[in-house]
Amino acid sequence: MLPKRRTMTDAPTHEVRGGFPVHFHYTVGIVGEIFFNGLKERKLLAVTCKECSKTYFPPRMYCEDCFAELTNEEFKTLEQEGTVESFTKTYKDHRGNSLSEPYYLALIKIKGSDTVFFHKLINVDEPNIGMIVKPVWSETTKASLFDIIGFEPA
Amino acid sequence: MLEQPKGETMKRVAIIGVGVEGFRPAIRDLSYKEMVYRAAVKAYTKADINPREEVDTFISCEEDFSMGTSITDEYAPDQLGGAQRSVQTITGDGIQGMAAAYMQIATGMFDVAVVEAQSRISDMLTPNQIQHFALDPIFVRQFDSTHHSIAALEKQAYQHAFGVSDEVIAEVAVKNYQNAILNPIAAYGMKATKEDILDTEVVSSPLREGEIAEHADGAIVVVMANEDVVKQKNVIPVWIKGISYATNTPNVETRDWKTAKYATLCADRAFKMAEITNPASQIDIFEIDDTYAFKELQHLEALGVFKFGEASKALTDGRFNRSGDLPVNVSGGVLGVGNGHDANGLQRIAELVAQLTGEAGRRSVSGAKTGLAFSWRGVPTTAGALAILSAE
Repeated sequence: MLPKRRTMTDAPTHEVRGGFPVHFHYTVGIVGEIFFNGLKERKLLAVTCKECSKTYFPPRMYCEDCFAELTNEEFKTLEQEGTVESFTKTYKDHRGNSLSEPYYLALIKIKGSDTVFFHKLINVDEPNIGMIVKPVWSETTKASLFDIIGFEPA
Repeated sequence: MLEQPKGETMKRVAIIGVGVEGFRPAIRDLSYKEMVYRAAVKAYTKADINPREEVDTFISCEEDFSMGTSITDEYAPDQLGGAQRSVQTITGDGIQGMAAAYMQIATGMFDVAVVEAQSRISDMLTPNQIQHFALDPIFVRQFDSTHHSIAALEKQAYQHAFGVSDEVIAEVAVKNYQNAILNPIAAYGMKATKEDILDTEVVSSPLREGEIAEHADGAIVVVMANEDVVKQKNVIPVWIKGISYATNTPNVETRDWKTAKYATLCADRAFKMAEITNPASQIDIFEIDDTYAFKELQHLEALGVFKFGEASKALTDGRFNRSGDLPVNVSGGVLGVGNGHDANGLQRIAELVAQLTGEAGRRSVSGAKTGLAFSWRGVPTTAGALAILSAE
């Protein structure tokens, strides 16, 4: 006997809703502490791998290329200048809703580092790749990523 | 690294059946288990296999946040016919699951393996937040921005480095939406013009809505077996000649923003295994991740099919069309079939299997013997997986 074929042409009448709140505190780590404390003093602290000469900003505990530990290296203060490697003007927030004030995000290569730093571009109408920028510091710093308000044309 | 073992112990591995349920913008009638069950029944019928007796290992590709259940792997077996059997979950793309299945069969301890991947993103009431939650919490996620911004930064860097225009990238989307019209598993087949794409809303400049693959629901089940099983069954085998997966780096600070290095890493490994030295001449049909339209061009270049910056001209010359000499995404790609997330790789595989077994109907690429499937795991990853399939 042919089994009864059930299909639904309309939206289901029964669905069960569920979800759960997810909250964490993320530990920044030994080298993260050094980096964020540097921001509090308005300093851009970086570390160079002795084995391959790669300079990390933000600094790391280890080199991801050669796996050397960098904890005991000297953390150096970089100049407050960087180059825009890429940028985007974002029109949506993290929920996908339109932002009331779209803003620029950029990848900034701080002078003396071999990595890029993800942050905002401010006080600029039409940025371009290769643009030289400098950090704008908050009046009060508290060891946060937002001690830097953003980067503006130098 | 995956390399073909030398000697007589290694048996060839084939795909002997693929089943698809979906893809549709939203599957609201079937539960996720019913959806997977239907795909599984199709795959087992084509493979001439009884899953309760003849499958040695089951691999489900899914993750907790996407499925809305912690320890979601616990719920994977029964809809595949794998209750009380050897089942594992891989939190990655379906082609990564196939690589694991390939290795298991290659050991000689398993004859038949089943790989499954699915998308139920329409069940998620907060899909944007879940994708945002994948960003690095300390250095990236603190900014209130859509996760598409990461792809936008990459698109901008790629365009600037190689002089690729928005108009050319829009043509990728036009081609793939058009190709999807003839694909029964595609959710977003449509006729659109370049201007239609360029007129869509800017989500994060230079990225527009029309060049971002829309979510879709669906499930794909793939049955793989060694040569001995193929000989015993009434099936049309498609042989796996090469398979690999690789990640560049999860960190935004150190990744390659211009050239999709993960694709190059995948190609280096899989091409060696499949003895491919010139992909443009040795491969007849390409299924390439195009979750964002520019990715099709960037991926083809990273795979070594073109030099960097040169895929654009091949596209505008019509070489990627179904009738061209290098057909790319005849299925419609991720843009046309719909973003099935961890099932995207198996969408690519399903198309190659249809093409290489003569089941592609009006989409058939004449004379296609060898195909390349490449998947990318999407923002914020730099993770790719590659498979080279052959009818012979």
